[in-house]
Amino acid sequence: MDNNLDTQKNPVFEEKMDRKEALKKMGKYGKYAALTALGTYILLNPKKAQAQSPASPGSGF
Amino acid sequence: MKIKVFSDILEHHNIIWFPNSNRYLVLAPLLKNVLLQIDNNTPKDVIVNYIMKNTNISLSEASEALEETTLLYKESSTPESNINELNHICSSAISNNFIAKYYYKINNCIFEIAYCDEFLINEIHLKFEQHCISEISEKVISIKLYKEEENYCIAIDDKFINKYTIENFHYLQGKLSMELIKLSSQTEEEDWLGVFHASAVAYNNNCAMLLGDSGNGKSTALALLYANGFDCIADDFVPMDTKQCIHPFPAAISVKENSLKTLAKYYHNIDELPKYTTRLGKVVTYLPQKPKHNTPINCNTLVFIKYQPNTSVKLDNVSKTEAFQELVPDSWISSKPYNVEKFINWFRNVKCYRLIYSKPDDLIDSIKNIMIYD
Repeated sequence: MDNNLDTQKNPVFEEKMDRKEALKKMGKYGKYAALTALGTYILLNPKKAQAQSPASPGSGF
Repeated sequence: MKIKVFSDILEHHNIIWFPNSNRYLVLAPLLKNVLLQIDNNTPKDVIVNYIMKNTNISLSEASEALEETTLLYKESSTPESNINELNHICSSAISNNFIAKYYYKINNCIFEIAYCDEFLINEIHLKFEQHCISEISEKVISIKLYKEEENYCIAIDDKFINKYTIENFHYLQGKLSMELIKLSSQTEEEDWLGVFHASAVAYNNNCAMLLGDSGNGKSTALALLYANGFDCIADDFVPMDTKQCIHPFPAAISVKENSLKTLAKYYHNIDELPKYTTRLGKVVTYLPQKPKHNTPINCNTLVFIKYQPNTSVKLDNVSKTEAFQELVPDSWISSKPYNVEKFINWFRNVKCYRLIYSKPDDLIDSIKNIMIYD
């Protein structure tokens, strides 16, 4: 996922932050900082093919 | 290219689907309007004026925003770079060295699956062992699973289908499952809207999909619900047809070692069931299941679940935007435009919840309430 619409997780979208401050912080979050003037986005990629759960380390439940 | 816009699905955002790449962009309305103008080849100065009219940014900032939106448009319409690694069109001769062959009866169709090594038997045969038959008198579909150098290959009726690296083995499992369901229902891939990485349960003639990251407890939740009056529709591989119905998929429920203690209360013979240690050291137990429901069923409920020890049960509504963001990257969705429309129409009507639980009874009661009152 290339961006995040979740305002809780991403300080860029806090309401009281002005645009310049946001762009400064945006540096580490996304490559399209200037287009945030037009709003937020997220690019989603469905799986390339049908799949089952990949084997992954860790305990899980 | 004609992109497809869906405007009334998510709360404050739009969805754009890119046919060239089968990618979805979730975005704010103003950004959507700019992207649409790019897609329609509107002159740059017109778009820049439009941006300035609708924001309080300067000419240079508007030009920069347009430039970046054009880059985003290009990125979104380009297929992922590694998409071809799963498409192998040729292979050497199909192997005939197998250590075991089993016959399975799935939806009145007989399959003979031949395995070249123990790993395949553990990963695949044990999941379908409950469908094994010893005598056959009907036409059989032959599936061969074999190795070519370091890759695992699949051939059906002696026709090479594809090969997979060990890292992509879950795609071989997905392909095999897809072929089993296609062949046993006499359908083609375009007859399917998608396959979801979820567990599906039915209760009171309703079906719900349990979703969440690996390790969140989807399969354990399914096993708990199955032991408490729910019907198990599918575990891990949930196929949806073009009528937006989920098809029962008859693989055993795979549960991890950590949940055996919880499940032992409901499955008294759990220690005697087939188990195996995966190549990454996890012990998996396969719980056989027989769906009472053997016909496709509508599913209008998504529950994102998470097992979290020592917490009180918490059930909340989830916004469509959040649910869409979690659902799409974890699913295979048909790239046919008419199927994409149907998928989005189905999503439009689903209700989405998030459930955090630690006690089995809380899980059972919460899912029951959702499915009775939804």
